[in-house]
Amino acid sequence: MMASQWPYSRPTNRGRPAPAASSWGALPLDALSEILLRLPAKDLCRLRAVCSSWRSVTSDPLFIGAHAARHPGPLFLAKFRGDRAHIHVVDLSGTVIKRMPETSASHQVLSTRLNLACLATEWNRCRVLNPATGAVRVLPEGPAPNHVNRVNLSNPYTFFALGRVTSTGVYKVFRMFNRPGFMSMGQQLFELFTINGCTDHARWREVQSPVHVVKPWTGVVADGVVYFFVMDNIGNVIPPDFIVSFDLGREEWRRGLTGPISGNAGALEQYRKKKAELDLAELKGSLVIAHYHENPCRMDLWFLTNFENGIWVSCSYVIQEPTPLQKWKWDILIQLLHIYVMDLLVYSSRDVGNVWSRNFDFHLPSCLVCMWNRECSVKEEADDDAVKDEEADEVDVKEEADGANVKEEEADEIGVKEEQDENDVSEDEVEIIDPPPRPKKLRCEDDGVDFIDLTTSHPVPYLNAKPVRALPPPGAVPTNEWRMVVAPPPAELEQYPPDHREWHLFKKSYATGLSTCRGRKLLDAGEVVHFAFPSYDWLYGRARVSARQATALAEIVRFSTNRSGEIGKLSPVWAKCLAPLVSSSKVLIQGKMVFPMVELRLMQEVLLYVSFYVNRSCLYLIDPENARHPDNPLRPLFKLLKRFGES
Amino acid sequence: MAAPESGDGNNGAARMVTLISSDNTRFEVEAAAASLSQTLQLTILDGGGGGGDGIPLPNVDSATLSKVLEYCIKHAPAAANGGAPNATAVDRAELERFDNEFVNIDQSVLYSLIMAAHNLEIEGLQSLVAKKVADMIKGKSPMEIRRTLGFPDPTPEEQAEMNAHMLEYGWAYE
Repeated sequence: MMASQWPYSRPTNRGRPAPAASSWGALPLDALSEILLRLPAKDLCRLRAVCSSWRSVTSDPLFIGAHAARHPGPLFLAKFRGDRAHIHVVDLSGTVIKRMPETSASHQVLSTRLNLACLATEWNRCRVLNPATGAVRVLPEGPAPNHVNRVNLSNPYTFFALGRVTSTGVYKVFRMFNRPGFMSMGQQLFELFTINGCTDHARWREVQSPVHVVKPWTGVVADGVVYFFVMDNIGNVIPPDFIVSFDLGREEWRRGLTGPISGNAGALEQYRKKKAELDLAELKGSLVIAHYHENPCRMDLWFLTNFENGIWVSCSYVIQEPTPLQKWKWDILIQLLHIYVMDLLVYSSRDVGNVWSRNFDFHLPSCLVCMWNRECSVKEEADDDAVKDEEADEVDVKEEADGANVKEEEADEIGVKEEQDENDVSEDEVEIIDPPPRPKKLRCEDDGVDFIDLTTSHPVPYLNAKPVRALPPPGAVPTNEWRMVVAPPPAELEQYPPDHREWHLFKKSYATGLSTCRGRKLLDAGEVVHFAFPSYDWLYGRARVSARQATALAEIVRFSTNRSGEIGKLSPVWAKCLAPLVSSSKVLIQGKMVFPMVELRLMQEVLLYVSFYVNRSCLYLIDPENARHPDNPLRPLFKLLKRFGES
Repeated sequence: MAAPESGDGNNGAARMVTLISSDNTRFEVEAAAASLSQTLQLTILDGGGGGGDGIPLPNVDSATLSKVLEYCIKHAPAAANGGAPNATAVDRAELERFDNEFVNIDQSVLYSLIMAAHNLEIEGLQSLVAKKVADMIKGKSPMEIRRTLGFPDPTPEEQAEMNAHMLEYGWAYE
C-alpha cells in the first residue's frame, strides 16, 4: 500500500540519515546567513532557487552589504576571447561571478568605476550597460543637429567615454568623431549625451572643439572630466605631457595643462623622444600620468592633485626580480593603469535590492599599497612574508588566481575593472613590487586571462581605416540614415615661394591673428592663408575717409583662405609693423594655418605660421651690421620675430 | 557552596560549573570552558551554575551538549590566552586538526550543533559549523542541496520556479 503511494520518490532519500524532514529549512535566519555569507556570489545566485527562505535571506540588503564586506575583492567586467557573446563579471581569482549576454561581439567594454558600464566600438556603436540589472541602453548613432553634414556616418571613427558628474550624479557619454583622414579634414567633432530616465527625446549635443587636436585613444575619465593628450602640431611646440580636458559637468573645455615631466626642462628633449612611454590613466579618482622606464624597469605615476595650480604628486615603482605571485600583481598594476573601473557587483538581476553597489574607493591591490599623497621614495622590501601577514586574505585570493587563471580560457578584449575597498590604506607604507622587467604592452599569455591594454586597443586610424563593422544591436532601428555627404573642397596646402631672384627667404615665424567672423569654417592645419594689405590711398573703397580713419584702416591686414573666405585680421602688433613694410615692397609674407579649426568665434586668436621674404634690394637691411641701426625700418619686425620665437 | 567566591578571577580554571541538558543529564565542566558561550558567560559571572544547582539548557540534548563541551574544552586554553600571540604553530595546527575532525560528523548531529552553537552563542563553533555547511553546499545545484540537506521534495510550483531560475541563470550553474 505504501509502495503504491510512493512508487519512486523515495530512492533519492534512501541511505541518507533522515533528519526531521524540514529541519534544515527551519534553520534560524541568523545561522543560515552565517552559512551563506561564506559562499561566493556565484553560488549564492544559484542557491536562491533552493527555497523561498534562502531567497529572502540572500535578497536582504543587510545580507548583501555583509557579503560585500566579506568578499571585497575587485571585480572586473570582462569579455573573453573564447566567448564574445557574453560579458562577464570576474573577480580577482578569475572566477566568473556573473555572465550577461552581449549581442554584439565587437563591442569593447569601456567602463569606469561607476554603476554603469559603457560598451562601444570605434565605429559609432555605443551602449550603456547596467551590470546590476543587465539593462542596456543603445545610444543613437545620429550626430548632433549641427554636425549632421559633417560626419561621414558610413565610416566614422569614434571615441567614447562615460563619466559621472559628481555634483549632480548625472552620467554623460562623450563622443568624438575623428575620421581616419582627419589630418586632411582637420576636424574632430565632439558631442555629449546625457543619460537619464527619459529616453525618447535624448540626443547628442554638439560641443565646441578645443584648439588642439587630441589623441583620441589617450582619453581617460577621472572625476567627471575627460582628459586627452594632444597631437603634435606643425612646429611641434607641444610638450608630450600637455593635456587638454573637458569638464562633463560644465560642458566646456578647460585650459590646457602641462604635465610634470616636461616641467623638468633638462629632460624635455629626452622625454619628447619617448612619448610612447607616457600613458594617461585614472587611479583613485585622480588623473595619473604613467611614465615607464625600461632600464632600470620602473614606473613613475604622477597624480594630478590640483588642477587649478597644476600640482602633481609622484610615486615610483621599482620592478625587480619576480616571483610568480608578484609577476601577476605587476600585470594587474599595469592593467590598472589602462583599465576602466566599475564599482558594482551583482549577482542577480531585476529585483531591486540585489544590487551590490559598492562605493569603494579604488586602490591598487593591497600588496601594492600606494602612497600617493606625498612624495614616495622607493625602498626595498624583498620579504614577501611581511606583506602576506599584513594582507593575508588578499594574498590568498591572488595565489588562487594563479592556479585558476591557468584553467581559464584565453581571454581577450576586456574592459576590466578593478576596485577594492580601501581600508585606510596605510599611507606610510611603500610597497615594492618585484615584477619582471617586461615591456609594458606585453600580453600575459601565461595568465590565461588576457587583460587588454586599452592603449593599444584603439587601432590607430591610419592603420586600420576599414575595420569590420559592428553589427547593429537587435531592436535597433534599421538605419536609413545614409546621408549624402558632400566632400568639402580640398584644402589649399601647396604654397609656392616667390621668385627667388627677387625675394630672399628671411625668417619663418608664428604670428597671431584675430578672427573677424564666426561660425563653421573649414580650416586645416597647413592650409594656405592669403593676406590682404590695405592700400595707402586716401580713397578707401569709393568713400573718402578722414586721415585718422585712413590711418586706422591702413593697419588692418586681413587674411583669408580659398575655401572659407575671410578668416580674420592680423593682430594689431603685426599689422602695424607689416603693413608699411609690405606696401613699400621691402617685405613679402606668406602664411599657413597652424591649427585646424572647425568653429570660429569672434575675436578668437588664430595662430599662423608665416614666412617672411625680404626684397633683394633691401638685403642690406637684414645685414647684422645694419640690423640695429635705429633708422632701420625692419627693426620692429626683428623685435616681433624675436618675441614670437622665429624658427 | 563557597565556590562562587573562590572561583572569581584567574582562578576560574579551577572552578567547575554544572550544565543540565534537556534530558536531564548533568555535565560538570570548567567555568573557563563553559564561558566560551556568550549565553552562559553572564550566568557564570553572576556565580550561577556552581555546586548543586546546575544551569539548565532545555534546548540542547545530552549528545549535542557533550559534543559542544568537547569543543569548548579543547578551545578554552587558547581562548584564555586571548588567541594567537603565544600559541605555537604546533598548537594551532593541533587545533585545526581537531576542528576538521570535529565537524566530520553526521548531518543530523551537525544540524543540532548549529542550533546549539546558535543558542549558546559560541562564536568559534558557529563559524566552524557554518564553514562546514558552506563547504557542503558549495558547487552544488539547488536540487542537490535540497537532497543533501533533506528538504522535502519540491512541490510542482517550486520545481517550476527552480527550472525558470536555471534558465535565467544558466551561467551560475556551470
